[in-house]
Amino acid sequence: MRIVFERVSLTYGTTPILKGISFELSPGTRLALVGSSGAGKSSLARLLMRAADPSSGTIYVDEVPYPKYQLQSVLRHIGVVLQKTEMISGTVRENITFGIHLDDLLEVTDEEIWGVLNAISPSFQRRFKESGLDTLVGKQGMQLSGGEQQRLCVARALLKKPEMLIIDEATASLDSETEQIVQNGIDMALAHDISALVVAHRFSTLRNCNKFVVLKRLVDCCQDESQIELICDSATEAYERSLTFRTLADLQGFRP
Amino acid sequence: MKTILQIWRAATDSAVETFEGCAWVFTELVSPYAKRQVTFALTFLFLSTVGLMAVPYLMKFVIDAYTVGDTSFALMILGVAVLIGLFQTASNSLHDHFRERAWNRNFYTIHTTLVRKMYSRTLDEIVAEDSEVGAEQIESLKDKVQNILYLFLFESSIVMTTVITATGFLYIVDVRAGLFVTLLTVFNLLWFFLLNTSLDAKMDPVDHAFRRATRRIVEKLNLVASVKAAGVEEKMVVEIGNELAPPLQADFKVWGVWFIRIDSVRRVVNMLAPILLLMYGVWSHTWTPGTLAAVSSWAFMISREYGFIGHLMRHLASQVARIKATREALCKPPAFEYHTGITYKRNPTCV
Repeated sequence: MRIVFERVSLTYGTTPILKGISFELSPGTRLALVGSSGAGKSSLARLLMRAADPSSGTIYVDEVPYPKYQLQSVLRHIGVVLQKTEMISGTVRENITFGIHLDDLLEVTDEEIWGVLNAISPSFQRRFKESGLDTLVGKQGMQLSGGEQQRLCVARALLKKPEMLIIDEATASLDSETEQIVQNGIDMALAHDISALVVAHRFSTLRNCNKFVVLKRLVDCCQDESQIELICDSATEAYERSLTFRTLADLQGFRP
Repeated sequence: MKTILQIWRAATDSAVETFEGCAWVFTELVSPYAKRQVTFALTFLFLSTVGLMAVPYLMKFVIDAYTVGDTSFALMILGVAVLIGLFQTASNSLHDHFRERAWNRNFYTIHTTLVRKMYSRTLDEIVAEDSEVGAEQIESLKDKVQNILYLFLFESSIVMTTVITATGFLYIVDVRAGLFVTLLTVFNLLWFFLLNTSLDAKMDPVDHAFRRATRRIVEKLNLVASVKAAGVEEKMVVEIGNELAPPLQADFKVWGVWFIRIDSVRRVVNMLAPILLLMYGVWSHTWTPGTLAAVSSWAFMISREYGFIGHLMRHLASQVARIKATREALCKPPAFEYHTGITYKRNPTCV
C-alpha cells in the first residue's frame, strides 16, 4: 500500500488544522510523525482512516485518489492502535477479533490468535492460563491492566495482517514501565516488513522508524508555507536539522 | 385575537412537525413485516372494539323486550351477546398477538436501522463535539422512537377505535346523537390542539430545570467514593433534595394549578354533554328505555376517553420534538459516500 499526500489541507469549520502536507509512505516504510501538541499529527492520521476528507489536496492510495475506493476495502488492510484502548465486556477472543471483518472471522483460528498474542507478549500465556481465550475481561476490560489492554489492542491490529499500521500515541497514557512492555510489542509488530504511520508523542516510540516527518504548528507557518518542517530518513538527521524535533527531543531527554 | 392567532399558528406548526416526525418513524424505521403485523393488529382491534361496543346495542333490545315482558326474546339476545363476547375476546387476543409481533420485530429493526444510519456517517461526524448522530444520541433516539410506537400501538389505537366505534353506534341509533358526540369530539381535539402548545411553552423551562437537576444529581452520585470517604452521605441526600425542589415547585404550579384551572372548563363540558344528550332523548320521547341505556353507555365511555386523547397528543408531540435534532441530522446526506467505489486489492508482495 503506497500512500501519497499531495498538498493536503484540512479545515474544521473555519479553523485550519493542516496546511500544505505532502509526503509519501511507501510499502515497508515506518514513518514517524513528529510535532508539538496541536500540530495536527492525529488529524493527519485520521485522514488516513478517512474520518474526514481533506479540504484541499489529495491523498493517493496506490496512485488512485482515496475517495475513489470503497472505504471498507482499504480499511480492511489497515490496523489501528489508538491511545485510548477500546474494550468490550466479553472474552479475550471477542476483543481480539473485534476488528476482523465478518467474512474473515471464520478463518481466524485459536492458534493464529495465540501466535499473535505470544509474539506481542509471552506473558499472555500465563495470564490467560485458566480459561484461555475465553477469559472474561470485565466491563470495558477492567479485569486487565492498562498495559495488557493496550497490548491486546496491538494484537487486535496485527491479527488483521495489515499492510499498514497506524499507531496514534499508543503509549501516551501509560507509565514508563508499562510503556516499555507495550513498546516491545509494537517493536515486534514493526519488525515485520509492514508499513506504519507512528504518531509520536514520546520519542521512545520512534526507535523502529526509518522516515521522519516533522510538523510545525500552524501558527508558526508563513502564509503559503507548508506545515512540514522536515522530511528525512533518520532521527539523527531530524535532530540536527529540525528545531521542533530538537526542542521536543531535548524536553524528553532523547538523544538519537 | 392576536394571541389566539399566535397560539393557532404555533399549534399548527407543532402538528405539522409531529406529523413529519411520525411519518419518518413509520417510513424509515418500521420494517415492512411489522407494518403488515400492525395492519392485522389494527383490524382485529377494530373487530374487538366493535364487539365490545355492540354489547350496549344488544342491551337496548334486551331492555326493551324485558320492559314489554318478552322474556324469551330478551334471553335470545343475551345468547347472541355471549357469542359476540366470545368473538370480541378472540379478536382482542389476536390483536394482542399481532401487536406483539409488530413490536418485537420493530424493536430489532429500529435498533439495526438506527445503528446502520449512524455508521453511514463519517467518523468525524459521529465523534464531533456537537454531534447529533453519536452513540448516545442514537441510543436516546431509539428510546424515543419506541415511546412513539408504544403510544400508537398500545394506547392511541385503542382510544381512537373506542371513540370511532362508539360514535358509529350512536349514529346507528340516532343520527342527531351521533352528530352531537362528533361535535363534542371536535371540541375536545381543538381544545387539546390549542392547549397543548401553551402547556409545552409552560413546561419547557420546567423540563429544562429537571434535566439540569438530574444531571447534577447523577454527577454527585458518581462521586460516591469521595462522598463515602468524607462521610457526607446525609449532606448529599439533603443537597439532592434541594436540587429537585425548584423544578418540582415549578412543575406543581403548571400541573397542580394552571392546568387544572384551564382544563376544568373542558371537564365540565364533557361531564354535562352526555347528560344533555340523555335529556334530549327523554325530552323528545323518541328513545325507548333500551336506547337511553345504550346511549348513556357509549356517551359516558367516549367522554371518559377524551382526557386520554389529550394526554396522548401531548406526549406524541413532545416525543417527536425530542427526536427532531437527531432526525434532521440523520436525514442529511453524510459528509461523503464511502460504500461505493473501487475495491482495494491487497498488495500480493506484502507479508
